[in-house]
Amino acid sequence: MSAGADHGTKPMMDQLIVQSLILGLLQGGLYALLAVGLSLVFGILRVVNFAHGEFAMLGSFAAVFAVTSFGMPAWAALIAAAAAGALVALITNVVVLRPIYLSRMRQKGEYTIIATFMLSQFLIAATTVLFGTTYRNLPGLWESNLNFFDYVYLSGNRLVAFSAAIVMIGTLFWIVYRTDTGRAWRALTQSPLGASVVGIDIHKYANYAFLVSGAFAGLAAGLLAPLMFVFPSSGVVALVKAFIVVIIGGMGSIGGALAAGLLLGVVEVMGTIFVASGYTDAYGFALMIAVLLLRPAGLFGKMGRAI
Amino acid sequence: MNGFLPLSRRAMLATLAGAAAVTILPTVSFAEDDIVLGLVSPLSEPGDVRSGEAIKKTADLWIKKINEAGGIIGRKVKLAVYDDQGKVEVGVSAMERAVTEANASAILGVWSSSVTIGQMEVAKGYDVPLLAFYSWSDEVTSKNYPQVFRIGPYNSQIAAQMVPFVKERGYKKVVVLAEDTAYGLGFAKAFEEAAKSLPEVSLEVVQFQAQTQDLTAHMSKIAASQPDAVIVQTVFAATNLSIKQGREVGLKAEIITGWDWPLLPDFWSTVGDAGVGVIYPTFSDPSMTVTKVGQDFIDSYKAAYGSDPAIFQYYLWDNFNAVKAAIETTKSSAPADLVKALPDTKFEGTIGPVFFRNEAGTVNFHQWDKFAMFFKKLNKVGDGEAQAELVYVVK
Amino acid sequence: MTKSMHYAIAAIFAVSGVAIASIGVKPIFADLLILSAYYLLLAGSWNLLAGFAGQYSFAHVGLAAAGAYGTAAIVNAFGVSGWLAFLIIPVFTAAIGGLLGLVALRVRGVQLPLITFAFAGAFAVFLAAASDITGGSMGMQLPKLVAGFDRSPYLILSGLLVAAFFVIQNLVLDGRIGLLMQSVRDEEEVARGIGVDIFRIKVYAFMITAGLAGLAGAFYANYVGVLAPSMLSMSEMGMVVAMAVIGGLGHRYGALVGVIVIRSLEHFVRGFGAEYTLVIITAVALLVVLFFREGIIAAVGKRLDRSVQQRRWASAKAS
Repeated sequence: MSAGADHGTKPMMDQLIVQSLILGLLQGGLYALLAVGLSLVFGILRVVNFAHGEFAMLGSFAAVFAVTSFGMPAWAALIAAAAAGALVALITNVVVLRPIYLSRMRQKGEYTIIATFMLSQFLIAATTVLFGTTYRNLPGLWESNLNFFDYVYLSGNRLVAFSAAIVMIGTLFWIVYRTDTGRAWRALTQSPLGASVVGIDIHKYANYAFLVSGAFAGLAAGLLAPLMFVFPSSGVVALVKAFIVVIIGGMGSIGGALAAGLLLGVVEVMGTIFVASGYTDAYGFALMIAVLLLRPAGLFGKMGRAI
Repeated sequence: MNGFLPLSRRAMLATLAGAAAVTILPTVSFAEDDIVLGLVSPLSEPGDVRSGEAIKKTADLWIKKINEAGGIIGRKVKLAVYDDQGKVEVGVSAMERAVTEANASAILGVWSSSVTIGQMEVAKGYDVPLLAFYSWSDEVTSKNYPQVFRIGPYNSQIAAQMVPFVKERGYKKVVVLAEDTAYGLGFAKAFEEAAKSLPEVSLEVVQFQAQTQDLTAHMSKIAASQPDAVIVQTVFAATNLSIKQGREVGLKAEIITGWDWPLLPDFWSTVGDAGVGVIYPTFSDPSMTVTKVGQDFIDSYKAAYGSDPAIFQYYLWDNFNAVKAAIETTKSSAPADLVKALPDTKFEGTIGPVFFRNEAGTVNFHQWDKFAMFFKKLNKVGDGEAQAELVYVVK
Repeated sequence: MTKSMHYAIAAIFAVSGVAIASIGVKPIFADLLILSAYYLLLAGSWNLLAGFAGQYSFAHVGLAAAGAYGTAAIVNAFGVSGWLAFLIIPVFTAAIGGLLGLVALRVRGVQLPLITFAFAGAFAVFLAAASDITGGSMGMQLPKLVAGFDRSPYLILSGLLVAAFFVIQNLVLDGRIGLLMQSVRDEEEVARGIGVDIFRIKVYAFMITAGLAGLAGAFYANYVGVLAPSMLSMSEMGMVVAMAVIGGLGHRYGALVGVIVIRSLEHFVRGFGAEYTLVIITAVALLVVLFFREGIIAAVGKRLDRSVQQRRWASAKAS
């Protein structure tokens, strides 16, 4: 990260490094929140869900309509986003995915990718027809720009979003490691066959996993919306970021997703500022390819088994 | 369409599907005597649909008014509408269809520069006039195709008109934030060229991906270099994003948008307070002289659609009137005759008399350029065109 | 169908290209057919890779884009004729495909779609951002193969390319490599057990299909004449996948049926307004994916078998 030191004075460079580190971490928290649901579903069902981004997109639309059509406050819009995301995810699991993983076809994993990919394309097209391509804005919880000692600048919304993301990921940790649902999930992740032998109902817990996955995606999108905009193809960006995070963090690992999210956020911001500003999205892809090649199980994954 | 040879059952099915496709084709029929004008515009995604709709409205209104007044040289005028989807190959093929299937006398309504540049080959190949109005690439006229005309601005002219403004405001350090498209990078290049006449101004270009949703990193980088002004050269979504996120990361510079995007309805709802102080350039100002033709256009547009037309719609109106004037001069609607007549066509436009500059070898070939550029500042939340303060005029 | 019938179908395409060109069709219909040939090459070769070799790559349209930009580059920079690109570019993309395979095939199963997705994504960013080289979204232009607006050369070429594709597909599927590809798809471990060099087979499959994608790209570049990064958007890849899946993955004529269905749909539903086109197409694709997992050909085949059996049964009863 030494490039670029030739222009600007030294203190300004320091400021820029601190600023970009903080921005990257805050952004990364939201990437992690987008990704944990995807990772969870993968761990339990071995499903790579290409429609995950659309859970997020539909969640953010629900939030916008909650505010604009029903006059709900900003916090209630976040609940609407989570609920909408969860509902769409549940329907996806029951209607699209369950028939496939119950079937006896070969290469189920690959086929679920195609099915969810088609679903995602359909949802984008349908949303475009229904709501148009206009960019919409969602009011945030803390609409002000903060200035810390003329050194670090942030918006309140960004801090709120990051804090919420960390709290939610903490909650997920608690669910996974301290509740019966979490124990069942972990059992399913380790061995679907073993879990069913001891009487764990895979359908029930798969539904729970999708509900959580969709709710987290919707919530993440609801938190991101005040920082960016809401529009039908916004899910594509969300999906790509979530994928990168899941791959880097290790599929099925929640702690890995958090760490990888933060890493991706920092790499993107630093790359944009200090390497080349026109290639923001390429840094994540490069990171993902490198990790897949050098450590296919992810930086923080501990899976030994073949997927 | 019985061209297929005897085939297997499967190929037979294919033939049937193909044949059905041909018979059900929406065929546009036109009376022998009608004058047909081709409108090739972005009417669906990924094209710029919002602009496409505005173009179509303007064209429909013009056709309606002309026919109510008895047509041109006693003949009715019809519009053959085609969608270019914002894609070069679709736009090129659509224009060809307008020429070969609808027998269009001229093609109007073309929008995105990259599409227009592709379509110019069709204009040349078939010798049909192509009238551009808001395709800003210099190449549209600098290629000097006899069939191509433009009533509207071009990149290097706009960049050149920004230079006196930068000088006037006393900016010493300017950053151009450019999206990676023909529009963004095209302007950045032109402005770098034009700004060479101001050696005291240091200039930096920061490029970003057009479809991005997050510009905080870019804006942090710009903020840290402490410029006096940032020129944001991108279409509306990223314009709003850069303003909002620029202020978020402590950017103190004046922000000048690439064009009059802040007048779009979602500006204030998405940027809020951050939009205060933003300066935008435009060709439209209440102080602008509007001719009788222009006033008539504005009034009928308001009556028909309930809103004011944007400035680019004035130019499109002039495009249509240019074709009308050429047809009246030649008493012919043959495309080749119009190509010959258009360079010397003069008529009353919406904001003044319109005539083409015909300086071969330059960008000012078949180009009308008599517009003034206004720089306007938004001083409080919710300001629109009427409230914005006029800070500078380049004639 | 017998082997010779498969070659007869290839010949029919070659002949009908010439026939249609000599009869002459409206430009709009010619454009439809010509670009359908491009999609057939892409969907067909993706079907070979995913349907027969079991390797789900999302970089396929990216390889076609590499072929198209490569064509523009050699035509513009070295003044090579566009015709020569049809020979050079497939070799070039096959090499890229081989490299991609060497790298991407280090991961297995569902990670392969993801890593190829990442490669395609990074390439798309590059095409848009490196505008000094690629022209960015302004596009990269190249002279047309045949000057003017006559479609007949392209119609003939389309027929020949489709024929060439089917010939190559026949050679691959009826040859040793085709059997090995399917053994890798169906029982990778068993195949490994009996001594099949799985990695090599996969890389070959990548190279062959990448060569075909490059051929498609070279054709696209020579026909359209302007290239833009939108050529390799996610929805384009989705379209190609949809075509292969609708017809039937792993069926020799799956892609052909898929291309016919989707391209006709696209054409018919245009009338409803362009924004509905994508909804209808994606809805059809989704329905097929959900309810006819083996594709239309298999579904229709089963129904036909059943009705034939019923008829036989009925006639047996009557007698």
